[in-house]
Amino acid sequence: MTSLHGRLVAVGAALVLLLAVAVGYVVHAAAGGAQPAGHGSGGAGPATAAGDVGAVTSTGPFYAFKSSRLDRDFGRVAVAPASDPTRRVFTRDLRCTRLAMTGGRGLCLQPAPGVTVAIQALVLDGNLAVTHRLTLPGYPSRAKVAPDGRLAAVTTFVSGDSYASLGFSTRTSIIDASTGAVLFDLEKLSVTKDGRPFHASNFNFWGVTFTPDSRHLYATLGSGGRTYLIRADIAARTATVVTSGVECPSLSPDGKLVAFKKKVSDDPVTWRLWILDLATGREHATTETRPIDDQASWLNDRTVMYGLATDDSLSDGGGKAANPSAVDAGASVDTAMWAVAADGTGTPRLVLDHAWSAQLATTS
Amino acid sequence: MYLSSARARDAGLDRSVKGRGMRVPGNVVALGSVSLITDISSEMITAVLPVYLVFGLGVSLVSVGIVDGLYAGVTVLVSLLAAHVADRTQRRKAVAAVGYGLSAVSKLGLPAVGASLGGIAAVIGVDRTGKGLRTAPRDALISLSSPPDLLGRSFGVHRAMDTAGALAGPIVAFFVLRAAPGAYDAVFVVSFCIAAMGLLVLLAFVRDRRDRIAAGVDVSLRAGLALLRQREFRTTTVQATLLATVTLSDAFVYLLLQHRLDVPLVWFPLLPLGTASVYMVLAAPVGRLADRWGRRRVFVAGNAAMLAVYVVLLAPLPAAAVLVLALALHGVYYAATNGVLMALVTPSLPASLRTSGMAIVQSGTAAASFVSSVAAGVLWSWRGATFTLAVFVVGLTIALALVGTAAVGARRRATASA
Repeated sequence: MTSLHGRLVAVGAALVLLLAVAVGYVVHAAAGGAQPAGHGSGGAGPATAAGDVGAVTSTGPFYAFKSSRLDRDFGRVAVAPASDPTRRVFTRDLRCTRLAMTGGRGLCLQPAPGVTVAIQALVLDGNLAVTHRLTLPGYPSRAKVAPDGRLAAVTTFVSGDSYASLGFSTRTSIIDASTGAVLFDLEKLSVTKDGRPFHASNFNFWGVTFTPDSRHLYATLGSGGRTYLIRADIAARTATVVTSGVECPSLSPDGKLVAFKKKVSDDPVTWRLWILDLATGREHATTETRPIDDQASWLNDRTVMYGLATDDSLSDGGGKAANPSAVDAGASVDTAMWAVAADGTGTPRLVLDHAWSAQLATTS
Repeated sequence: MYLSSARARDAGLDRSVKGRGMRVPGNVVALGSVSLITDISSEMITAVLPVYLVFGLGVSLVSVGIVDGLYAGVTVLVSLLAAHVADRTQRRKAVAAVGYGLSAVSKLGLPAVGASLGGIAAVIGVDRTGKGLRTAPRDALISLSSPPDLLGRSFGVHRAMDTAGALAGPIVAFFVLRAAPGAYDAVFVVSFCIAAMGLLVLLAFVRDRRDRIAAGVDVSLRAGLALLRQREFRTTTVQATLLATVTLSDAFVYLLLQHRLDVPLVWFPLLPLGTASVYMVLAAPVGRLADRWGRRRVFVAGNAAMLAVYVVLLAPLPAAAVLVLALALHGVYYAATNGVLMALVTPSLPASLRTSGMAIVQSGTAAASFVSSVAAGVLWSWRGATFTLAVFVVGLTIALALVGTAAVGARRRATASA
């Protein structure tokens, strides 16, 4: 072996080289090696001036959504009249990774600043002004508001909340929208399956949808690699398993149909948009054949709306197309909202370009 | 303690330590640096992997968890075989270097395989194999580089450096992702570069301990396993394995803490930092204490600290007190057991079979930890958190009582034969 001095020089040079590679790569990635960074930054051109949101929300049905055009407005919440979806009006500075808007109330999820993994859940009034703020652990995932606007549900991804070595679980909280307080976590529900108590420490709940009377909710229960659809009585804090293989349910306004993500492949994980008829227990596919990862919403009792990534980089194989759920966590991905008939006929049509997490809301 | 032939042979091995200089050998510091650098690299990945898999790729973590469990068994086999090769060829540094190299390469594998579950499983497998390969040869090198009366301290210093790296890893990942949000590939590339630095430091600055195997000394696989016929080594291995069976894994300790406190889930990812900070600060001084006061005593006391963690989790104390006490005691447990156990078994292992012996102890405790996790999972699903904790309190109390009785018996035997 050479002298200590020689080794020091040689290793020192190699270390400097490796450091340069590491720093260089990060700088390249930060400079937008692929996409504009984070929500609310990057992109070109000035941000669009805020408009009169109240003028849109007070005149009839409107879409509330997050703008996903890869420019300065990325992540900003906007509204557009249902009669003219291209006329988007931006809020002043409301930025969300996931948005819900029903019954004159809204819920906006955004990553909280700081060193911990946490989100801010903002409760909104009918004009998208913030009324309450909550901090919850995890990454933003799903948001829903009950038809009467009194309750809201938030799902986050939490790491370290499980004893599996790569533990990664979901947490779903029910919020009283009038006070902004967490009422309970779905983990506190007593669940029955086939008439018997059903519980396990590896229970995960996600994707809440409320019944038209706002007294019950449906959600996905995951346990040991299987997923179930549960129906819960909110006041009694009880739930029963309805069926299995249903993720991210979304109840039609009349409460008869459930639009959901059906897993059609494990590797890469792929979901398709399916419909479950609660009265008959039958399920069928929609004519949307592209992979989805979104909690759908309804335009009316017969039409479902859902988001898809339009970004080419997300559809170049490797299974990435199946996962714009990174969108809900804040990744910069361009998306669009599509609609398709719930009865399995027709063809999907584009509803809103450069939009994510859209809902059709009515004037309260 | 008695002076075994192995100890006699070890004495004066490292010329950098003279007399009562009380300095930790340079080779140990070099190995500590390698571990520090490597742990920055690996903990960067650990911090972002779940997020990357779920948000970056959409992989179901249930499937990854299963894959992870399967590897526990493979790692045990790999480490025993690697230790045998290291002893047989007396090339411990080379075997360790292969291990560090494999783990480094696996960092680049992650972006390469994309979302393929088989690919991810293979990459994690390569990383685990690397870890299995390097641990025992590295600990053997530490023990062979250190004078016998400094073993505890040497292992302590190594573990402190190792933990410092583990603490720094997530911070580095945080800054990379802050500079380039969503750019997981940048995290992997930086992690690879850091791992390569660790490998370079190993190759350039760690001296191998190669002894010519004397004629007639058996280094076969069978001889390695025959180490267990030696009373002192067998006793320590059995005791450490028994204690590991009734020791809750980290994940469960944090889950119980969260369950007990029921509030600050936002801070949940920071709980391991509490344990690691205490471990890092105490590892060296506790190792030194072990050298003076007795390694077995300190090892047993460390396990008693784990029992105290359980008691704190059950005790009707204010939330803040539970948090601080549980994490501090958990850190004490690590400082008094992890490196101390290696220092404890060293004198009973001949230098020619040092790596194999260490791999046997490590495999025994690793397998026991796996059993413990499965048992805790079953108990938890069946009867909940408090019940699980109560069972482990009883189990650890019995195990400590058995170990204590054995120690008294051994002392009596030693006195009688003297």
